[in-house]
Amino acid sequence: MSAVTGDVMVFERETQSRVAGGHLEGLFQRIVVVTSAVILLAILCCALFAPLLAPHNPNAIHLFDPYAPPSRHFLFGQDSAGRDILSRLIYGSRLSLLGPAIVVAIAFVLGVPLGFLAAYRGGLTDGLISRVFDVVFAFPPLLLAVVIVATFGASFITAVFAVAVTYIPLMGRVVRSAALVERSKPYVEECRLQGYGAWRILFVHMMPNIGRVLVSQTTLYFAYGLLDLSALSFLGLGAQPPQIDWGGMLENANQGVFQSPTGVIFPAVAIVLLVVSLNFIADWALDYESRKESRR
Amino acid sequence: MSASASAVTAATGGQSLSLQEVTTYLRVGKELKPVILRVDLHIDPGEIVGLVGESGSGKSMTALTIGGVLPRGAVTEGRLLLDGENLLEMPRSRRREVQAKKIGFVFQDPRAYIDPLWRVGDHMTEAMRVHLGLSRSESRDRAIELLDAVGIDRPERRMHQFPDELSGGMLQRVMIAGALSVNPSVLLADEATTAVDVTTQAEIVKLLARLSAERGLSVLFITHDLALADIVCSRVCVMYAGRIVEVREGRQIFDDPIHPYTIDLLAARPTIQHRVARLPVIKGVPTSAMDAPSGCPFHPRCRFALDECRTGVPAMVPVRGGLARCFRAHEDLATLAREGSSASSTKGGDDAARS
Repeated sequence: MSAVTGDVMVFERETQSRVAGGHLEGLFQRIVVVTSAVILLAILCCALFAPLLAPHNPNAIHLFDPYAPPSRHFLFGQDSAGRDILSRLIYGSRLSLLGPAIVVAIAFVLGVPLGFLAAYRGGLTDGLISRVFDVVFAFPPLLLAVVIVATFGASFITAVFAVAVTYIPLMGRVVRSAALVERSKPYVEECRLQGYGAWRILFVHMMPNIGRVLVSQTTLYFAYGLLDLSALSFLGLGAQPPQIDWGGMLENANQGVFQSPTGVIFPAVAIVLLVVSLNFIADWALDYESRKESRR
Repeated sequence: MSASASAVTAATGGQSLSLQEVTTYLRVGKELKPVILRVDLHIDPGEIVGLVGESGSGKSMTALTIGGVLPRGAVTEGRLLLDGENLLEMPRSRRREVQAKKIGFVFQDPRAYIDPLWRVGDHMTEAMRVHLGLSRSESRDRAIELLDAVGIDRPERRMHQFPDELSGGMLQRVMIAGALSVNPSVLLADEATTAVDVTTQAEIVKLLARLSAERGLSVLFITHDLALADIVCSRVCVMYAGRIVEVREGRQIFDDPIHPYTIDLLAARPTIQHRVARLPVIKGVPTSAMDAPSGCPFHPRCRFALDECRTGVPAMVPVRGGLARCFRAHEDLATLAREGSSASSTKGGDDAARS
């Protein structure tokens, strides 16, 4: 008898601690999510209201103060040409947000239908699309982007398209495998029995059902796109002066990293913050979705 | 009830469904392998015909053949007549259209077969909007009528709910209502009552019977539950290894089974009248049409098998008001089986007593 009570007590204690752990975890997650949201919002505001927020003209040159450390006037210090790093960060957020957004949009608009088509049609169509994807995959993405930029000339738009090209098969392949799983589900069979067209089955029924995959991949690729574009800018193949983006700022600052590290630190921190916040928000969005599903 | 009556009694004119010597092959690797073989089946308007058999016997493949959604590379031969028109001779697009509009499907697991992200209302109205070109409000009104007709209370409210907010039985009714939304003349119920509890089962069965009578629906009731088929169906077809082996009217199949398979199948059911130490089983394993042995596919498991059963495939012969595919159909195998099994069961009883 006593053994039974003991078991029950142990069980109760375990349940309690699990609940308590759940609360702490939940609190921690909430803090992370709110912080991420604030950071994202701040970066978005910077991009939208750059002229109002920037203390200086981001391209104003002060040749006598290269690599100046932070001062009262220039809070984040000055770069190789004495330009205000803070103002350049604020203006740089524009291209740093726009670039990955275009990359993701292109990858989505072309990758999703191609992936769907491959999964739904199968056979020869699938083979053809998948082999083309394989060919693009065979090159390291950044290398392929460098080749494209080298061919068409260095500019922000070329860099964006070059990165987008390497992301289409990434998106397409993920969508293809998700759609393959989805296609074998009974409700899709029911749709086929109802005689619905492929378009309706794919985009009206299947696409919302793989929404989770699409959301997570899109945010992930946004972050990757930002990093790849920054890398291209760092190599001097992305945004060209007087355009400003964070990757370009890194390139500009790396020669003077020992005189003034702020030129490297601040853009790098900005990139990391944006990528990490995006990932946290995406995780949370997916968790939220699954919680909603499990609650029902 | 008057509102629902109009939807329910909107008679479809009643069309009969006939399968004549229908054979379906699936592509396995480079070969074509049969899954149903020379199936003959006829359903009149307002009639419920049962199709009974073990898993893998070809029941569902028969339904998919009628519905026209077989896996890629499948081939169907024979004649598939809907109101006298051979579907298999139609151009593909026309055939798909006829099948989509004239044939409704009800499956075992409505939770899997209804898009989980769609509200009941959207699921109900989709086919009407796509196939009948009805507007949103028209199809909505009709959907509510149909939900009411299949016995769902407060249909307006249900229209806004998601599938996972409804119980299994309720969802099965939604599926039936959805299948009826484009006014089909044939309803294929593939294990439609298997996944619901017994009381709900009875209600669903009653509902199908009522809808069939009121709307002149030809219903193919696929099940592995012989007792259920017996209650619902005016005719029962027993399927084994892709072939129909016995066809009987009404209660005949229970009182006077002809085919050895049916006899054993019935003997393997527990009954409330007789208590047996151990239920008889059919020895051997069920086979599908794909890897059926030569001759009569049942012969390796049949206790009445003769030499000719191993070589020749028996034809369908009329026996005692039914049809059976057996060389010994004219003998009273059921009585023979009873005598044999009573001998073996007493022996079994002795064994049990000794141990």
